[in-house]
Amino acid sequence: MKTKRNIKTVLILFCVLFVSMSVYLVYTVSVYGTRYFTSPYNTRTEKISNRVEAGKILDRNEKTLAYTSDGEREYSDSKTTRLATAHVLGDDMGQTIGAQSMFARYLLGFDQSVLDMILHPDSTLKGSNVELTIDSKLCRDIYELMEDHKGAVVITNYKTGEILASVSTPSFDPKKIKDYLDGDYELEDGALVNRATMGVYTPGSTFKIVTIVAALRYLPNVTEREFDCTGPLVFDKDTGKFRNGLTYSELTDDEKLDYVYLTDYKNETHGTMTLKEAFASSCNVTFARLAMEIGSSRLMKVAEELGVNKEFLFEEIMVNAGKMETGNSDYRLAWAGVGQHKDVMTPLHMCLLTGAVANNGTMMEPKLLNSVKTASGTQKHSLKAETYKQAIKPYEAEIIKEYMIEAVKHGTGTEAKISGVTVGGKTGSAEVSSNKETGTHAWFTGFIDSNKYPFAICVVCERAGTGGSVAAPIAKKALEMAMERLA
Amino acid sequence: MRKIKHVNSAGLLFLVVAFIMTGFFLLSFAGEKYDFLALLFAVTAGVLMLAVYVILIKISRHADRFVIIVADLLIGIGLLIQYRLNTDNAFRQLLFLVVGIILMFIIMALIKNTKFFEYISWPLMIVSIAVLSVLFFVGKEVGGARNWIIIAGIQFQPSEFVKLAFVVVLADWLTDRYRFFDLIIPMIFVFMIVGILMLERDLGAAVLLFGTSLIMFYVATGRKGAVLTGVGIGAIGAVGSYYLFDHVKARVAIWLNPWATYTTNGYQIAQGLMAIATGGMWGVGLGVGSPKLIPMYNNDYIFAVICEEFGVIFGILLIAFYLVLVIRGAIIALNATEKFYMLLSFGCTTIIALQSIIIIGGVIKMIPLTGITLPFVSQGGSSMIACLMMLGVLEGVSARSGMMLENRMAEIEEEMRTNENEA
Repeated sequence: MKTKRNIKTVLILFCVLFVSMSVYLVYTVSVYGTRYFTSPYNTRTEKISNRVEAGKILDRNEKTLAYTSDGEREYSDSKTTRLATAHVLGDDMGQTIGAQSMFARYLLGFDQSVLDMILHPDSTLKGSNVELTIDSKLCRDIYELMEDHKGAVVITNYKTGEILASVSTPSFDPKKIKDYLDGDYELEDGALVNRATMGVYTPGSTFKIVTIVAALRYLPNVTEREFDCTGPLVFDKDTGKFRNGLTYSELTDDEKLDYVYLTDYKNETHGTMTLKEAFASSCNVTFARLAMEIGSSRLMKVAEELGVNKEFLFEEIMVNAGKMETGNSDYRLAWAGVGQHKDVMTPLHMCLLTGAVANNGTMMEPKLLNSVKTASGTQKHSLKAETYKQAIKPYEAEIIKEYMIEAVKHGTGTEAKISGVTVGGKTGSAEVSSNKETGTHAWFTGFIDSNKYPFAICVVCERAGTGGSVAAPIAKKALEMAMERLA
Repeated sequence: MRKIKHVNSAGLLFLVVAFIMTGFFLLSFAGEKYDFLALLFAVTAGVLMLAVYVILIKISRHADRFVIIVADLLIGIGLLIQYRLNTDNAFRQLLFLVVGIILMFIIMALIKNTKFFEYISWPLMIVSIAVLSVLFFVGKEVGGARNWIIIAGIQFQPSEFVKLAFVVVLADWLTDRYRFFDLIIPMIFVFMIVGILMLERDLGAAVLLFGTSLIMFYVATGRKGAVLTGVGIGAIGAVGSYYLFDHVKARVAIWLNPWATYTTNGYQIAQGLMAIATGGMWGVGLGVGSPKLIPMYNNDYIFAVICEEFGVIFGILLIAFYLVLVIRGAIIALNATEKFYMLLSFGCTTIIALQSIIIIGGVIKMIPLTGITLPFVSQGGSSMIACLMMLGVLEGVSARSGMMLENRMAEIEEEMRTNENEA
């Protein structure tokens, strides 16, 4: 009978719907579960923390950074250590998201089995202890190195993804966050923001790493070509269209007002050079030309493969991804290709990208959790390196790595040289204001090319000057300290 | 005479009762003082379930055992969680359960023994439209929808009962009418009911009944073109109401990103998601969660509460239990010997299926949330009674077809015997 057949058809439809509901439920909990759970809006953890003694947070050398005593959350005795690790730890009043909220599941014993919960009456419940991958002494030294600069420094192990140090300045004292909420403790502007993971900065020339990946992928033989840099590129003021025939120096002063330009830092000209030299000397004109040659959609495609405009859903740390718009004109595309226009990156994203270059193009998932041990000492979780994605093709990574090493050897990043090891890097001096008096954001992102010290670093100093003169020396010292402590 | 054999499934029922008893036993330790009332409650519920099973089989050997056992399981989980949320509500729920069970038996007996339901299509049609229209003027607004009415001090939600009436009316009209002209009246009926529900902002019920009507049209007539047209009209209606009604627009917006409006519209969905995430795979444990943070925690959002305390794995099992109920319902429909009862039982099955999909899908943010109760589990008398009445339809149809089949078999045997004698 037809009706029976129709009933069977509808029944199959119902089965499909019910099954997809189950699948979606598992999907949403496994992919977004940690995010929802650690959301500052989730007051369920607070309720638990009243009756559970939250576990300790230790650094990779088992130095205690936070613990609970008499129901109060306590932190390291050293003020500098507290300030240096504040953003990684987060506070206990829900003002910032750090390890304390990301790992609340362990710290508050949510990971304990139902049987545990039944066997242990409420009051004696103790959370697990959490060991992080950071080295608190290294963080402290880097914090001191930053002096009065606002900004961030991140060091990762690019082979395992471990975050070895992450410092954001200005910082806050987690011990005094209650006073701050009561209005008794003043904080510097934006001190609660973790600049390393959440700070979106105009990347300037460090973004050329993205542009060069696209160039290597889409422009055949680009490594063998020669490029001419004869001064600023000229664009129509209204349409933003590139005027290839016009040369800046040949324009009269009146004519100059009719156009807009893509310039190099201090209007330098670099003459004729190879791609390698253009990268090492960070020539805007060449990279703007490359960006236009690659084209908006292809540049965007590569950027997205590298995580730009994406949403990172890492298990152990919340990271804002960089963003980019190529706009609808040559002019905007040209500036976007050299890390200006509306491009932004977070220091940790840039560090992951640089790490991928050093690691044959493989981007590792950033890890902050070394191990979890229950109050009774059973190990529940241990660090396992995980590939996030093959972001760059190995042969491209090989070339970019060579160029970055060249940039430190003979280019803009010479201040980052370390004797005894090979350092590669890229500087950036991002213009963030039309007022030329305001300093540029100083960027340095780089790596040590070594199996013994597989470190990637990213340094950002807000409005502090050029990347080569301000950020590179900090990177050098920070890497030297990391080598000393983590050999 | 040969008899149709049925699988003995009392063992399963004992398992279900044991599960519920264990739950209440755990709950009895939850407070500061030992709670004897919980045990009493559990024993009452358990005895009730066993009694219902026995009476059901007494009324008809052909009653479907699995439908009642799965329903018992769902009801038991509901009572358990309601008791944990609010003891008083749980007792009231138990009372509604008893009323519902009585109605279930009455409907079952009516279907098994009489043709009552085949004659009430016109009155039901008029009453449904009348009740919903009256509601439009005198209804009480709860949670943004004007769908409550108070008669003699008792609050109830007529749209819950309209669901059953709706299925009866459609089943009757679709039984032996195939020409397009014959379908005009049921179509007008569907559009009137859905339209009124939309105006009363009872989006959940509107979507549910519209979906049910499409499925019933398809099952009865097999006209794919007509049904697709219906889907198209529904889609246009959905898009239209998105632009016309701000509350529909708001629903879609909070579905796409509940966190953007966390402090206002998105609060409920966000809280639900956080509850599910907090529970994780295994749940925080019965009585340990914070269900009261979610608005409507004891009815629309009960699924999130269950996931928080029992875990996602249990949530998936719950979805599976509904699927079992739906599959058994469809089997009852497939075994029905008369088209009217086939459509009637499948209509009820469809209501239960769609209703669980709409609310669970909404809570887990798979589809935009429209408020509707979770069948058998949510707190609320009207919903519980209406669900049990639909259960009565399913059991009644199962009993009726079993009986008809046996009679038919007896006739055949009789014929064969006379044939033999003649020969």
